[in-house]
Amino acid sequence: MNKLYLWGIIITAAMLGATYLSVGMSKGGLNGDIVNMLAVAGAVALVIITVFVVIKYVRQMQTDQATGELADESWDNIGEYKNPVPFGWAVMFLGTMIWGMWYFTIGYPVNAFSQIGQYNEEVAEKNAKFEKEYANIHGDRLVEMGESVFLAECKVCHGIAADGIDGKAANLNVRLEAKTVKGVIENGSNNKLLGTEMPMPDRNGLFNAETGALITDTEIDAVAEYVANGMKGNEAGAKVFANTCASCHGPDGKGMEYVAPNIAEFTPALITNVLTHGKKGVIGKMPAFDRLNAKQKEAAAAYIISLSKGE
Amino acid sequence: MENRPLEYDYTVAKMFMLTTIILGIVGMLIGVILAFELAFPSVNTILGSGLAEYTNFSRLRPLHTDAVIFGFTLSGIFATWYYVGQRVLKVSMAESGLLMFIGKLHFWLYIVGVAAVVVSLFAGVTTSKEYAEFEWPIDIAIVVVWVLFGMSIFGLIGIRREKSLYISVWYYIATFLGIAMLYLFNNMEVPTMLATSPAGETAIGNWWHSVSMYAGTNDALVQWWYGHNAVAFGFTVPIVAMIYYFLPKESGQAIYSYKLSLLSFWGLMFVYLWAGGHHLLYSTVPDWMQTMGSIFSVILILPSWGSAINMLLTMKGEWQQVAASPLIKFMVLGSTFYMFSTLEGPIQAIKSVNAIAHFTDWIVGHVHDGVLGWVGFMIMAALYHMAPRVFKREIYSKSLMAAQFWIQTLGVVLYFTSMWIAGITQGMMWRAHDEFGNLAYSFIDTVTVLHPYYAIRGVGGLLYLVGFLLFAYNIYKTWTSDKEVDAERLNQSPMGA
Repeated sequence: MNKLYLWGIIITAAMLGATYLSVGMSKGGLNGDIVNMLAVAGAVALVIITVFVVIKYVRQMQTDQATGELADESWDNIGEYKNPVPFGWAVMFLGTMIWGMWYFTIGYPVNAFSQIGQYNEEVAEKNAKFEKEYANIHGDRLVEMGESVFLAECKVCHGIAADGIDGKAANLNVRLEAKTVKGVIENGSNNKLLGTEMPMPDRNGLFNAETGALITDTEIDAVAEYVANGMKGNEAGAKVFANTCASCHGPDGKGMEYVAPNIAEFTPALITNVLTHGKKGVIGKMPAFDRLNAKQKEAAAAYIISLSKGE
Repeated sequence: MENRPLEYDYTVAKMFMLTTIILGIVGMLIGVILAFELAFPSVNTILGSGLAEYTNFSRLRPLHTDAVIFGFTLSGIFATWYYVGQRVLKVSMAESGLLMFIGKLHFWLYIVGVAAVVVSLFAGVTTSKEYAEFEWPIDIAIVVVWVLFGMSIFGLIGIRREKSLYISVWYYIATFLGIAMLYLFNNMEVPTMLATSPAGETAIGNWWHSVSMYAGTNDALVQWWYGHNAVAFGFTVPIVAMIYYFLPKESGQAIYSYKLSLLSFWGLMFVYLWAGGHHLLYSTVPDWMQTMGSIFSVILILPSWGSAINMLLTMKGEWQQVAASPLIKFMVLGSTFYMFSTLEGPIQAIKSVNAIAHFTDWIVGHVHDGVLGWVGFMIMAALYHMAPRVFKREIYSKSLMAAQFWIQTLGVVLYFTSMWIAGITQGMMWRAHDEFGNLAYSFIDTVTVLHPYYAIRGVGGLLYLVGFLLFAYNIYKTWTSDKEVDAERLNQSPMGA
């Protein structure tokens, strides 16, 4: 076989291999996405057309002879043949020009394309598909979806392990950390974690029924440790909780509807509300994630609940 | 008089040959440093954190692009003009004291401009417009340099003996007119000293600092009309001018088709200017302008390929020359890289493909298979052809030139294949989603995957730089050689072993 063809095949195979590698390395590959398919088709066409055309002309260098009638002029001894333009080139040039005129004056305006319209259509289509496929998922599948949402939206601050990346954000493996409990007691809280409840007062409004006085620093430390430990251990803390906090959050810390949120464990309503409204806390301000739909919020909640249960 | 062969005067050509080589080394060296900074971020502070300001990617990047575009390439264009112009117009620079003065002034003012650009960009003084970073005083100096270039072109044409203009001269004229128009309109800028703050304070900026006269989307449009056509009239048109002279001259073959030359030239002129909108696909630019950019990009394939095909067909039946001469190899491979690049660009300019390609390394790869494989190869080939005729010495070493050719070819191949994989991978990963429709990767995931390709790109760039240093050495040894050539060779340049 002619060395030229061999090189052509090697180059084509190498470039197509590189393209295959690029596509294969990405999750889902072409993913049924028309943009991916067109890009890969373009890349493949580029390699094949260039190699084919260059081989054609190099073959002419190897086997053909220069012929034709020379023009009268010669510039610094350079002549020019009066050969006609290559037929295929001329046809394609004419073809692209006609296509261009047609597309710009008829094809494009009649199609009435707009990029915002395209965006809206694609979003509506994806939403409809999502509704159809995922409206009723629950259990493990819901947790799977939640993990996917978490990795796309939450991990940037909360970390892949949901540990809050050294205090950058809340550690979601536990319901509450001691410093958060302390912060809330000292400063109060108005995050509407249930959607409608009254704000929680700061320490100047937290009355210990046993001592008959406002909550003290020692008591705050004790109760914070007790709550952060999952409502167990630290007996002094348990006592403070029973006499100061239980009236709203309930004796077991599981909260009361319309009054105070569950501080013993995560609940779907609580997480959904945080995602909807955002949250201000000891660490800082978490923005609202309104771009998530109701199902995605529910899924994120299911995933976070599964984390805090150590599942 | 008419019986005596004309002696051409290459004084100005020689000066620009020197800056082509020096600025080429500088620009490519910075490029290699940048490539390794991307692959290994610690290179950003290689001279310590105290000097990090001068070594970090953001400070060096405009120095790389401007040094290779306005240093290496422009010098190459000027050097070849002061060589080719005289010869195809059959008139010597020495015949006109005025033209010689203009030529030398052109060179020295250019040097002043280059110095001002290097100092100001290193100091971080910039208008922040890509490829148009120079502040207004430098812009004015560059306009003067450009006007001198134009005076030299039209002056030489004015006193020519050759009645009709060779195709290369047309391309040089187009270069002059195109860049003049682009440069003036994109660099319309207002010194910030003239600005008034919302609170009513005046003179809040510096006299030398300026901002674009256009705002927002309008600025983006003018910027990419400029940016894209700087590629047209800096990297395409003048380089085509070179190959139309140097390939037939070196090989002794007549151009395949006069008609193809003409149609390709006017095709390029009419189509190129409208394609810049493809840099702004899926942006705030009106849809119809984006579509126009894409359409003209696709039409542009044929006039671009026309010139390349004309060159390849000029070599019809001359394979033994391609095989024997590394100088001709540079030009033939340059044509094929030109074809590859000018098909790749339009494909990337199709909206749906651009949705993947935009902002990825695929674009960087596309630019570099054009500039390394086409612009760089062609300028070096031109200088190789000029050297024995300008210095009246045999080219120092053919085997060194051949080694350079293969080293640089490998460099270009490593560069564009690694960026091909990196770019497509990056684009696919940015779009990839899982079954629930959530994005599958974070940005850092792509960085991790791309790291080896960035390292390969750095190696590719380094090989190209090594080849360029071989080129510089070869030209230097030619210049200082004692192997004089008495009579100028009509075609094949004389080369030592």
